[in-house]
Amino acid sequence: MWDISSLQLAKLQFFSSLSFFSVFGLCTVVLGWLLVVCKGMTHRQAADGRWMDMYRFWVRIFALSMTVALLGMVFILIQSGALWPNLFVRLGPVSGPLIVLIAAITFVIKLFVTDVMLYRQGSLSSWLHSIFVLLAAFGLSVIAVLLICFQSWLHFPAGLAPDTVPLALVDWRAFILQAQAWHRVAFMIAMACLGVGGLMVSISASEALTKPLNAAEQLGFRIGAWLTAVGLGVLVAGGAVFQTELFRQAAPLPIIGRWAQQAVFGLLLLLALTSLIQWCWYLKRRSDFGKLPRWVLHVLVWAGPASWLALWLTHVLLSLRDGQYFVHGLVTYAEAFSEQGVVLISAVTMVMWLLFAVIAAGFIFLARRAARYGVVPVRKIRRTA
Amino acid sequence: MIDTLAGSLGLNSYDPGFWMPLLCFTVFLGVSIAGAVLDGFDLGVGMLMPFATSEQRARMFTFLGPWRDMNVFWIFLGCAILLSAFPKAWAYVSGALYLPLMLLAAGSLLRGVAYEFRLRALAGGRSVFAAAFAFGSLLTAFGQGLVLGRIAVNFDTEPGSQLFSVFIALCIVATFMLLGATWLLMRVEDDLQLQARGWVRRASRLAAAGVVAVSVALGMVNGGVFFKWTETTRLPVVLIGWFALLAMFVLIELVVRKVQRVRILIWLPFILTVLVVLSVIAGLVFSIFPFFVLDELTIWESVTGLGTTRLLVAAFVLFLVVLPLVTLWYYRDMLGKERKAKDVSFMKRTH
Repeated sequence: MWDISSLQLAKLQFFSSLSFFSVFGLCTVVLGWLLVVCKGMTHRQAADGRWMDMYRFWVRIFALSMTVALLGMVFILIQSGALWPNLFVRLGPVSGPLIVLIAAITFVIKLFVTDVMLYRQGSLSSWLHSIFVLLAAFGLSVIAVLLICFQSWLHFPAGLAPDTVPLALVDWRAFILQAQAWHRVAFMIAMACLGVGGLMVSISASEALTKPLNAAEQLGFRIGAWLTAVGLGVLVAGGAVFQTELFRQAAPLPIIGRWAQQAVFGLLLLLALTSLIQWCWYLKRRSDFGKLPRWVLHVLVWAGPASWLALWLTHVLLSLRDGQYFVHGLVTYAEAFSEQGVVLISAVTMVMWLLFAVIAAGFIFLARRAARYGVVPVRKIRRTA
Repeated sequence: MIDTLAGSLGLNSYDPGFWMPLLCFTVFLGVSIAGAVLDGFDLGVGMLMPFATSEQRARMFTFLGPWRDMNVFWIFLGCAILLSAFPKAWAYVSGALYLPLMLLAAGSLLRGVAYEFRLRALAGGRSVFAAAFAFGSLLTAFGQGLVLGRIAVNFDTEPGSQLFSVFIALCIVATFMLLGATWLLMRVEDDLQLQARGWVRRASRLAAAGVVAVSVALGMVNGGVFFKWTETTRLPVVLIGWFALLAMFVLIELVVRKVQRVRILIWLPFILTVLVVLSVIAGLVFSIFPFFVLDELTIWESVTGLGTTRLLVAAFVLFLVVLPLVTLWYYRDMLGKERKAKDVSFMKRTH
């Protein structure tokens, strides 16, 4: 049952970490657009302070999530090089420019744009500040789309010059405009909405358990509930999660694949159920979500971790769908792999998962702390004479 | 000299096939040097934290804040350039470097996340994240040291060579600690400076041993490198370089002893340590050049293809303009003295 080769372990290790950081990356993109909406509404309804309060709270969570996603990108870059060195020899002309482009966009966003988002609200005009928020959301979306297109292209390679080594992409439009990639983008957006919605509901429920919610917190709770419902709705309506096609040859290890599939199904069912209870109560009482029964609030606190876990597992399954090939029909996993011992890869995988568990626990812990005590604006201190 | 080198490769020095890979290599080298120095003292301060009191630790954390965002990028940029421009070289060595690279990846992830989490944590959780930051720094430095060690022994897998790689990794850890300690010595006064003096003296000896060990191993294991160093025309320069390097370590030790009495010397240990790091990198590049992987792949054989290299060069030219400016901006206060200020936190201290 557990007769695992080093190649299978390497796949599991790589795709589990790729998926872990993708969750943070995708949620950062959706949080970025949420901040754009907050800024936009602030301009539209200047007298309504709720949107600005929401912006001030969620920009901190956005910054934290973005930092984890960025650090994860460094981790994935090193890990992909260490595990699949020959992939880059074959894929150099495709992956090379992409890596540089993504590095450049990340560089600009992290060093200039988020700095303005976090620290320069008082020193810039409101419109200029909003433009920076928009730039961050747009830039992060470009990175996410490029990465999703690349992952999709690995499953459906198109636009290549025939019989070239390394693979030469002659038609970049085929890379960007392939239908499968955009299905995947839509699916990922729905999953990310579910993730962010779950997080917002979770934090708001935590807040509601300790104190009466103010107007901005109530608004956050409602938006979170909407995002969760929309995410779940799109997933169910599209039937994406339940398509056997999605999980075709899903796992390197069939048992883990089946287990993960059932876990995703169960988590989504639980989330749908809690979302349904939440909305039924809301429609019946016409009261704010903060006044939900305490037991429902306790259940909703776990909506965030549950939705992120569902998102992570789905991403793992989606990544592992093509059993044999890294680049479908062109490069196998075995060709790309740098031979390592089973014991070494197992040990590294265990340590890596432990590290991810610590990061996830730390993130949840800090999000709940933020819900309890709030976040205050940060001054950037330079301790020099 | 450049014409001779191009000629030996059967190329003209104006040929893009010659200068483009060279430019990519120069950018990679620049990023590596910047990472070793600018992220190096950050790593060093991180590793020294367990030896400081909690009040000193809080101050040390605050020192690292201004360039935290920028420091995340050095490894990222280095890997991005290596993977995109020199995938063949990467493929050749990375199989032998799986464990060191994973240590490096895990360490940089842990220290980055721990720093951010600590900023937002309450008093109780801060010590946990501070310990994680120190451990992450240690893993990163050790991983980098192992990479260097494995290169120095030419990826030999004999137990003796593996042990030697571990020894070199420990020496690299000491070198980063030395960088961090000399930087603290320059920035602070009071008890922390006194403590930093002790750290400098302890770390400098192990760092010196490491420099000697890397050089000897590189020369002994690789005949080509030994020949390059001992060639009659180069030998005097190499010897002068060697003595200068050892003199720098002696000078660091002497200056640290006098630093309390002669305040003007306070900058000297840090500058000397930076010079040591630069000398080691320069020595390594001199030994290996024009190879990327010693005796196996030259810089020109490691590139992915001229079409891709052209795209990369266009991006790098932009980086060459922007990166130094951004670096200067971010690190503008790096050499300044400490000013007393409150610790930074995102959270209200309600208990």
